[in-house]
Amino acid sequence: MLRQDCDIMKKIAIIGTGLSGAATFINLIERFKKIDIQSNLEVFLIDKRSVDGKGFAYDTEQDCHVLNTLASGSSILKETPNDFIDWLNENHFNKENYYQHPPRNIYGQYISYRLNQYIDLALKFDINVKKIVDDTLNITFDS
Amino acid sequence: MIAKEEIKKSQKPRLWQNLFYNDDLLLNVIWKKLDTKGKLKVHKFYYGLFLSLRAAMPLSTARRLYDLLKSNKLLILDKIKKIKFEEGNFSIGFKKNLYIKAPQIVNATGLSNNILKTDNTFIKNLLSNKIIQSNLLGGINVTNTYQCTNELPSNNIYAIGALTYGSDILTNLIEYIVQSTYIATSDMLGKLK
Repeated sequence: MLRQDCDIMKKIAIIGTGLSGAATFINLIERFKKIDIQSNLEVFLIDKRSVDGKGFAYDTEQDCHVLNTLASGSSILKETPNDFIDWLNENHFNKENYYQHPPRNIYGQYISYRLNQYIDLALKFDINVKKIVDDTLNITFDS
Repeated sequence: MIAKEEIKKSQKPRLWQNLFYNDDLLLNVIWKKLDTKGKLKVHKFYYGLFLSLRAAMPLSTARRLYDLLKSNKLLILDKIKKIKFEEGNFSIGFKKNLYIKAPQIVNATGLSNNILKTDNTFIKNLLSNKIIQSNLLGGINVTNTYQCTNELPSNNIYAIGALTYGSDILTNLIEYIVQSTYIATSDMLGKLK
């Protein structure tokens, strides 16, 4: 059965689209590509500031605000550990100190780029992605 | 001065730091094997050390801070006793009867990992609705697949990152977060199949 033929709609809400939220969405789509799921999927990306992947931690303009982890361990894709290094090279951010402790704003650009790329990819898989900019205050469970 | 010594030491390879950088999050695996007493001991005595080695301050930042300290543009004080506001200024009192006055104060102490002490409305509501529970260190209690434990008929709520401290130990590292999302999303999609 094709996904398009299935009328079961599964919904996933991701609250917060900083590193954790963006990584959740990106890895969700990565995993979705590889398995056969017979239901339609709708993903809500919710953030009180902006759905851009930067969050507080990487939304800075100062180059002196740097990651305290190494670029080599900072890929957002679990199965492609060199992804961030490759992205730095592709985007001409290949300064020596960037491989050690890259500026947080560069890392924010990387997450943002990958998040948008995977939103586009999700649409190709007929996954409905809805961005919501609002403050989440509560969750209740209704049986 | 400690800062000067640390900068000097960082010029040479550090065995323990290299081990931590290459541990592939082994500390989290060991953490899960510890009993409650062991976890409390690690939290109290070793967590700060682990973090300072695994997510160490970059050398460029250390040098910048050292220069500010040396030129008396930065003063590091701890153990705040009280803060008062009087005549347009905040007065901050420390132990040993030291006071400083400042027109502005920035609270840069970060979010509390302890959900029982947080002032975040969302987390408070999740607790009162029994959607989440705290673990022994005050973080959100999650399973090995990052589902929040609760007594509801469905526990399709996942939590990842620093707020789950206690369920794992190195919860705010990029590698850890990415690995957690991989495990959690595999679990989510497994349920959709």
